[in-house]
Amino acid sequence: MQDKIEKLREKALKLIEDVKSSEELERARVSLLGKKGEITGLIRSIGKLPPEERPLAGKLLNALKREVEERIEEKRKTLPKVRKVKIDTSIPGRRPKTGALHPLTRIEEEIVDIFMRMGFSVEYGPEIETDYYNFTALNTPEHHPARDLHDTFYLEDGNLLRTHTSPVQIRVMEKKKPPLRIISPGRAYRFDPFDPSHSPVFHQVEGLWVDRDVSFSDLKGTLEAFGKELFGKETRIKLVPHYFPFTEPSAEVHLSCPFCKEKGCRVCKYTGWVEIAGCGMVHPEVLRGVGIDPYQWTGFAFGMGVERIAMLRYGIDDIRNFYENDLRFIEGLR
Amino acid sequence: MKLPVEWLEEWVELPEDFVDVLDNLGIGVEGYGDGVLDLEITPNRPDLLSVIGIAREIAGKTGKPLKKNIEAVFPVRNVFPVEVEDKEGCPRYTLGLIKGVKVGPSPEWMARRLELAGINPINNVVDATNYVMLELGQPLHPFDREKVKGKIVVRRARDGEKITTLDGVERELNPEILVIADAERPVALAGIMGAEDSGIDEETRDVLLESAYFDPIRVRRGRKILNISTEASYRFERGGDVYVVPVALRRALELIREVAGGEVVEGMEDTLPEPEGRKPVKISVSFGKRLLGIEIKDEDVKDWLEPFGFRVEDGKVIPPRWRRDIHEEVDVWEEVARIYGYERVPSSVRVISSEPVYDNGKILRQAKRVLSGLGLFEVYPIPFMNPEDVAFLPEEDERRKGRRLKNPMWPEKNVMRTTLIPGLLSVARYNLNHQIRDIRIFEAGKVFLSEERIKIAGLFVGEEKKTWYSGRKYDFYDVKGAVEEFLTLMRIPFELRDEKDPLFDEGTCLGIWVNERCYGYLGEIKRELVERYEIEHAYGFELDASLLELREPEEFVPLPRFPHIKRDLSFLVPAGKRCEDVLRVIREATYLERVEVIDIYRGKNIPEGYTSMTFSCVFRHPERTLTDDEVEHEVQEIIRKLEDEGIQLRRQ
Repeated sequence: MQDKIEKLREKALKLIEDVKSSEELERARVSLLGKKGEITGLIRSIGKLPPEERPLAGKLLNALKREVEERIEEKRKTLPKVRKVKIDTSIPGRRPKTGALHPLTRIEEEIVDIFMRMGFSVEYGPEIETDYYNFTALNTPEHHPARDLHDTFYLEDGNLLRTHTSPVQIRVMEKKKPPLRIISPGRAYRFDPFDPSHSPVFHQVEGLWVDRDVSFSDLKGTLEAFGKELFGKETRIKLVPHYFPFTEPSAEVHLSCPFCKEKGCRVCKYTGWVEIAGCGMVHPEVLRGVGIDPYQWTGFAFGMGVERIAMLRYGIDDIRNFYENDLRFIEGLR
Repeated sequence: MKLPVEWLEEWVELPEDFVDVLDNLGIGVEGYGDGVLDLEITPNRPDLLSVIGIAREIAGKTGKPLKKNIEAVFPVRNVFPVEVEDKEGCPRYTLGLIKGVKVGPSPEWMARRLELAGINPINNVVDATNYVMLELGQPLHPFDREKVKGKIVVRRARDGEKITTLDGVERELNPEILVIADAERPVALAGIMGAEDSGIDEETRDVLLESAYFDPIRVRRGRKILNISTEASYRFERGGDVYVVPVALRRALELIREVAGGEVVEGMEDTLPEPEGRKPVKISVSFGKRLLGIEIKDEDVKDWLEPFGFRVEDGKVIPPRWRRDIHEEVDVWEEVARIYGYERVPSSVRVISSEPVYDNGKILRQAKRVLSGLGLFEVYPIPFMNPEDVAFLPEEDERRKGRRLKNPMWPEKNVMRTTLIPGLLSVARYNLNHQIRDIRIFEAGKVFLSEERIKIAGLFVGEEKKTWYSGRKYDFYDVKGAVEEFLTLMRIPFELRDEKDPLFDEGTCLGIWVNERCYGYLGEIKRELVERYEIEHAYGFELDASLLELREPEEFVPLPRFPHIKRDLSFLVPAGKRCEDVLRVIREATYLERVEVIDIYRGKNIPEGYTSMTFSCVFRHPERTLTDDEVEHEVQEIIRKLEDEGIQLRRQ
């Protein structure tokens, strides 16, 4: 075996020595070290040797392999550089497989990010709620006509699917004392059949800020800063008086139409403005209910529709797109 | 509410920009065409459900007084016997009488205004009452004097009592419902609708006219039980105006005389001739400034509120009688803000928070990003589930018992989901129907068991998009690899073990274990379930998101300073032995840094019943360079141990 290895060594070194071009060198390499190369062959045959000879043979062959590899590399440096076979650069590249987040997740993240930069922390709450948290604690007792505005899904066990993310306000204020600055993204449900602008399942981002001197003016400024960051510097926000049982004063938040810049178009029904949220100063009754003195602490709250904002952002005219989950839709918006 | 502009103009001078004025006052103008305003009136302002209500707001804002007002009432005297049994349900009941009317069609001007306001004209008597309801906001109800026996009684209905209402429907009543009755039977549902057999028809000569204040909750309860809503109930359940009751009565009687002739009896029954005045609300201007963030001088409040009918004196505000929504201080400040104009409130931005900011959603959001980076598309299926989808699960499986909806939107999807898998399958089905074959999807969302839990689930269906470098059908190893990579990137110290879960095919299911607890499963989804979506094979996973909390901190591992030695070894693995059997032995070797499975092969040159598996083993010593001898020794040890287990090295 030792002889055999020595002979092969001489042959190999000669072969490399005589090489004249890169192609020849590559052929030499394959004939020696390739899968079916001579050195490779010998290495593979070690197993057939009597066990006592194996270690020495292995050692010698590995040394040979290393020497040959070194020689080839040295030789390569002396040869003139020749371009390899020209490749067809027009064949499409190997693209890694990528997925995408759902557009509602992406918009929700953007909204959350903006408010986090303004000092809001992120909280979550349950989707199955009690009547108390969804209505009563929000100053909407049984037989309050405002309940008509919420077509509610009820469970057989007497609970309900929350009709807005506002119950999180109550749950947080019960646990933590002010100052509080939180947002809570999440799913809500209303008994509205699917149509271009309604879905029985939708998403909101709730906001709540309670502190010593939070004012309606802070509410306006905060939402304005939000609008400008999400839709651009020239965006304007308008608060329009409205009614919610759990805030007072209450307002609807109107955003200058991002499509026509207030000139009037189909999206804003030719008004120049689109509604994106409801908001107001937390009603004293709500604060009292969670043991917060409404003369010591004031606060604002808002709830905005994630689908609505995503539709405005991407120019989607049918809310059902979000729930059909056509992968081309999701892919197209990534 | 629809309101003809000409009617409004009769009451108040309209400024050029009255649409904006209304909008800024919070009276949403949803439409304005053909001389009819379509207004959105919020539930707290029943006083605005009338011409006079809207006129007052405009007058308040422009500072110009109303063009006319209606305030006269009749003296109280006996007209017809009235008994109020339920004083809580009916704090004020007035009744007037007009004799000798001639019932017929209304004059054209009145019929037209009603039609523009969305109310069908019926006859002159009924139309006059509706006209006054629109004008003053007070619903009224006329009875045919001949058909009311003996007296009027305001009482709760008796159990099982029946009434056929004006819409021709026979309704069974119960004591929750307030009715107007005569000596014998109910003649109207109080505040909701009258009975057919006591109403006005062509034969009617004398009309008893009711104007009352009913308890909003009582009206709402009644109309909910009976499942009807009328113009009258809509107003009453939002809160009537106890003071306008007799005013509307007189106005309506006089209007009936005008359009139907007859003779008005100058007087009325009234069960509450002198209602209590409105209670003053104490205010503190400094609180108002703090709440609204605007400059307010003491005299401003008076200047702003009084044109709207308030009286302001000595830190007290007395709301006008028609404003049922002003009870406490904050109600006054809302009014101040509304009149001042939300648009004039300055914007303040205070960014710095005195409290540390935290994010309870951070890990889950990161998990979603990692999954999308691994090539999966996030989807949002509807969280309602068809219980048939999980009917094949064993009786004791808690996923079988979804929480039931009382009023499902779709009859078959009547429980809250207990697993995310059926939703993902429905998304797969939808996409297959749209000729999309490459389906890699995931969802992170809630399931509803005895408590709400966040789950993360994924699904592979179909095959890779066909290109010159791809086009494989998805299989078990796609989902296994995705889960392995996902958990690795999330730094979860996991282990996959052979496991059974009834949602997954037996034999192709692995449990996802962390710290000796199973957090979920992966594998081929059970045939019983995928067949319901007409899908052949689906490979998925579902795990509890609570495992994300077990992530380990990032750890710096110093880079190796000495070279490694790599050895590739192929073994013939007989049936009955598994890859793991080989890996286990290789991992026992000293100096082994890592091992990869680099080839799996069956077929030519491999004996029947065997699989060739090639392992690339990397050896390294942390403190010095390994010698070939040392590695060779380890390799021989591996080969020997595997031979003992019946796994042979594959020799060429």
